Amino acid sequence: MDLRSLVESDLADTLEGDFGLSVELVKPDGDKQIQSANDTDLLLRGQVLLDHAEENLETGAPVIVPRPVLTLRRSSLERIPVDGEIWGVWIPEEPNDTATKTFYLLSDPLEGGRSLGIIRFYLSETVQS
Amino acid sequence: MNFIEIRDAIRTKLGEAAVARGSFRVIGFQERKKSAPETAGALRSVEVFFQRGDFPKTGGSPSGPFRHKMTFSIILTATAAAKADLTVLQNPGSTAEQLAAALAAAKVAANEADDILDTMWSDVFESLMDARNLDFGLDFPLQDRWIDDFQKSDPAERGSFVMITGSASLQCAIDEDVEGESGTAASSGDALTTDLKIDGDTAPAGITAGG
Repeated sequence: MDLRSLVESDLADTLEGDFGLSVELVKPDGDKQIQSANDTDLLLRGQVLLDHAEENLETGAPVIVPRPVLTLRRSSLERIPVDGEIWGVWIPEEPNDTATKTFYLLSDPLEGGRSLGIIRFYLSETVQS
Repeated sequence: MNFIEIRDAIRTKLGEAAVARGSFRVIGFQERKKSAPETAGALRSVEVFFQRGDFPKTGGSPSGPFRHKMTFSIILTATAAAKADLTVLQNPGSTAEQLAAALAAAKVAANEADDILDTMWSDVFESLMDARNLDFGLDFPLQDRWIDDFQKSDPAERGSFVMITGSASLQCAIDEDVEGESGTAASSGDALTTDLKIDGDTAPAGITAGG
């Protein structure tokens, strides 16, 4: 196995392993994905961070933005979202209560990581219409 | 100066519109920069404040009245999150068709904020440019009341929220009179009394000071 393939397969541990949390995706056609496409005996898991760092464009200072970021292994997805599509995702917000999930929209352009086999989503908090 | 009364009258009229229409709240001064949660939902705001005054030399004399062309800034701020039918999306029993319909009907945050700002501006314009508000309820005439444009900012991402601002200028003109410094009111201890000499009155005339 070459190094790039090794890095991708290591995501099963680094991204989907003990630090990962189970998430549920819903595609634009309403079809849900709960299991991993790599192994349907396993739940779809990924890295869920409830905030992330950005740079304040006016001052250049780093700021922590309270917006969740979800990183998934591309090969675990049944289908890769296309820019412009609206997907939904349920993520756990408490590390000790992963059964309770909150809904977020995925509508922003996707962020790369394709070389390393990952895909990153910035989640949009959603209120009742 | 009259512009202060005009400023207060505009604030009052907009405040009444805010209560009647419920689409915004009024901030009658130029506020500091606000974070997204401070302007989200019902906290969307309309700032109105006196920004500029022009006094054309040809519009008055050195002793007054002075022609005052006023510009009031109106700044609208709306912040929104994405919207969707969560009763369907968070229901484990929803079918694929229901989920698809709910996703298709979802509104992204930029769309929601844009719509909110359009509604706010419509309400603000209708209030300020109402024919009954030619003088904003004041008891002196106001001239050249006009709003000549409105401009929206680009949507700004603030975490999960999107914030959009809009700005306009309300112009009007008034004649200002400078009344000068008013004298100090006399207290009882400083009263001056004057005795008038009237025919037949033998008492001495003069001015005495005292209470």
